[in-house]
Amino acid sequence: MSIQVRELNYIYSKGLPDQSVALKDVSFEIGDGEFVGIIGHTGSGKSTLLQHLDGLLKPTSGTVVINGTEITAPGVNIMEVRRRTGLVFQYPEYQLFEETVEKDVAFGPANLGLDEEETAERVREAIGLVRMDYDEVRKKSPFDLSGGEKRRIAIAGVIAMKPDVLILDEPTAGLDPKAHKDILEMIEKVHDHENNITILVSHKMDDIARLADKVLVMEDGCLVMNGTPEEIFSQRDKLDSMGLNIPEAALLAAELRERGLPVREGIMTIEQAEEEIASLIGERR
Amino acid sequence: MEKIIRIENLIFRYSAGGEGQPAADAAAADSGINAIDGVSIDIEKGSFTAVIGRNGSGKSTLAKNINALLLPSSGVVYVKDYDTRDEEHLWDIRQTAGMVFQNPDNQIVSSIVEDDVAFGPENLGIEPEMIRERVEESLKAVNMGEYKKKAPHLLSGGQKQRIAIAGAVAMKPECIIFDEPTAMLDPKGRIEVMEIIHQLHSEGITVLLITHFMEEAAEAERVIIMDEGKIKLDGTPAQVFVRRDELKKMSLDVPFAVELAHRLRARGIDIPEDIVERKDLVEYICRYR
Repeated sequence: MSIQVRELNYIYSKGLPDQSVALKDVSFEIGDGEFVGIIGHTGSGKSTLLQHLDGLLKPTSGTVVINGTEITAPGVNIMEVRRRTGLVFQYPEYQLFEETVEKDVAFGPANLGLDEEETAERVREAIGLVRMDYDEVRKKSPFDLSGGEKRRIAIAGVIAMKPDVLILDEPTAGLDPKAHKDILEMIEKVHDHENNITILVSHKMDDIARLADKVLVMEDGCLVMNGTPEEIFSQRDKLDSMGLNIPEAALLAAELRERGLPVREGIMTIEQAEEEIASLIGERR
Repeated sequence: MEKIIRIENLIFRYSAGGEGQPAADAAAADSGINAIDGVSIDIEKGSFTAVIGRNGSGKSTLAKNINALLLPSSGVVYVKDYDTRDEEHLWDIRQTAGMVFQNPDNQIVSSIVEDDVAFGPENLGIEPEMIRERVEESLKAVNMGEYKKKAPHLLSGGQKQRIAIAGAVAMKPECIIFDEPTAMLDPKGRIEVMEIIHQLHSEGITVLLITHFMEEAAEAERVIIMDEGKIKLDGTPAQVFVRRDELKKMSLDVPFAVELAHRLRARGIDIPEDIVERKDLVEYICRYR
C-alpha cells in the first residue's frame, strides 16, 4: 500500500472573480504502513489536500495514485476509492445520526454491500478498537454519550470500513486532556492493528512529534517541508515565520542551547528532555 | 480587594428535557446530578483566574451562571452586587460580565466586521457617534483596527475570535468570561488571542478563562480546578499544579514544565516546586549548572 501525489494543483472558483489557488504543485509519497503528520496554519491547504486523497475534490491538474490506482483518472470507480480511504472530518460527532451506536457504526460497512453477519462483526470490532464496551453501548443513543465518547463512535464508523488509508483532520480539537489522550492512543492502536497508512492533521506539535514517521508542512497551498519530525522541528525559525510552533520539549532544548548549554539536537519528547537534562546536570554533581 | 463576582453555595441542576441543553446534561438531570454542587467563590476585581476541569465538570455551567444565561437552582450569584436572579438588572449584569465562546463562527452576526462589533452597543441604545468611537477603540484593543471594513468570513480563526472579543469589549465590561476561546484555533491564532486576553487584563479587565490548555492556565494569577460540579483546588498556578497526582486522578494534565520538573525530581534533581512555566525551568537549569 502506498500513495503517490504528483504535481497536484487545485484552484477554487476557477475563472470567477474570487478565484484562488488552494494547492500548488504538491508532490509527495507515502509508503506502506507509514504514519504521516500534516501541519500548517488555518487556510494553508491541509483540508483541501485531504479531500483530494479521498476523491472528494478533483484536482485542476496533477494525479493522486493510491496503491497503483490513479484515483484522479476519468472513469475511476469512486466508491472503490472511498472504501479504501477513510476520512474523519473535524468534529465528526456532528455527523452521528442513527438511533443506536450500533446502527450508526454499521452505516458505512452496510453501504459497502457487506452482508449482515460481516457488518455486525466489523461493528463489534470497530467499537472495541475505539476502546468502548460493545455490549454496554451498542443499544444506546449516540447522543447520550459524552463528547469524547461520541467522537470515538464517529471514528469507529470510519474504522469499520477497514480503510487502507485512515485520514484524521484534527481529531482531538476541543477535547479535554483525558479524551485527547484516549483518542490518540486509540489511533495508535488502530494503526498497529490494521497496519494502515494513517494521516493525522493536527496543531498539537507534541502529538505529531511523538506519533509521526514523517511530517508534511503546508503553507499557502504549497508543500514547503517534508521530513522526519527531527528534521522538521529542528527548523524552529522557519516554522515560526509560518505561525507554527515546535513541541514543548524541543522548545525547551532550543532555549537551553541559546543559553549556551550543550543540549543535543533532535529532542522532541518529554522523555528525551528528561534524559538529556538529567545527564547534563548529573555530570556536574 | 473589591469583589466583582460573589458566588454563595451555588447549586445548579439542569431540568430534564430542558430546551437546547446537551444530551449528556439531560442524562445528568434524569439521574438527579447537580451540574454545580455547592460552589462558593469570590472573584476579585482586576484578577486573572483560569478554570480547569474535564468535560462535564461544570466549568461552562458555572460561567453561564455568572452572566445570568443560567440561574441558580439554589444559592446566589452576585455580579457587582446585582443578584443574577434580579430580572430588572439583567442587562447591567450582562454588561458587567461579557462572555466569549469557543467557536467564533457562532458568535459573529454581521457581514462586516465593524457592524458586528457595533451590535452590542447598538442594543444598549447608545448614540451612533459614541458607538463609532467604541467600535474603533475595541477593534484597536484587539489589534484588528485595519480590518473594520472586511467580511468576517474572510478572516482567519484567530482574527475572527478577536472580532468576537472586540464585540464583548465594545460593551465596556468590567469582566470577561472566556469559555475555551482558543480550542478551535491554530498555534498562531492561540498566541494572538492569548496576547489580547493578557493585554485586556493589564488594562484592568477582570478575566475568567476556562481552558483545557494547561500552559494557558499557568499564566494566570489564580487557578481553580473543578470536578463533578465542585471546586477541588483553588490557588496560584504553583500551588495548584504541584498537586500533580490529584490532578491526574481527575483526568487532568499539568503544564509541560511541571511534568518535566516532577520527573527530574524523581531522579534526585532538586527542582523547586513553584516552577510552572517553561521559562522558569530554563532559568533554573541554567543556574543549577
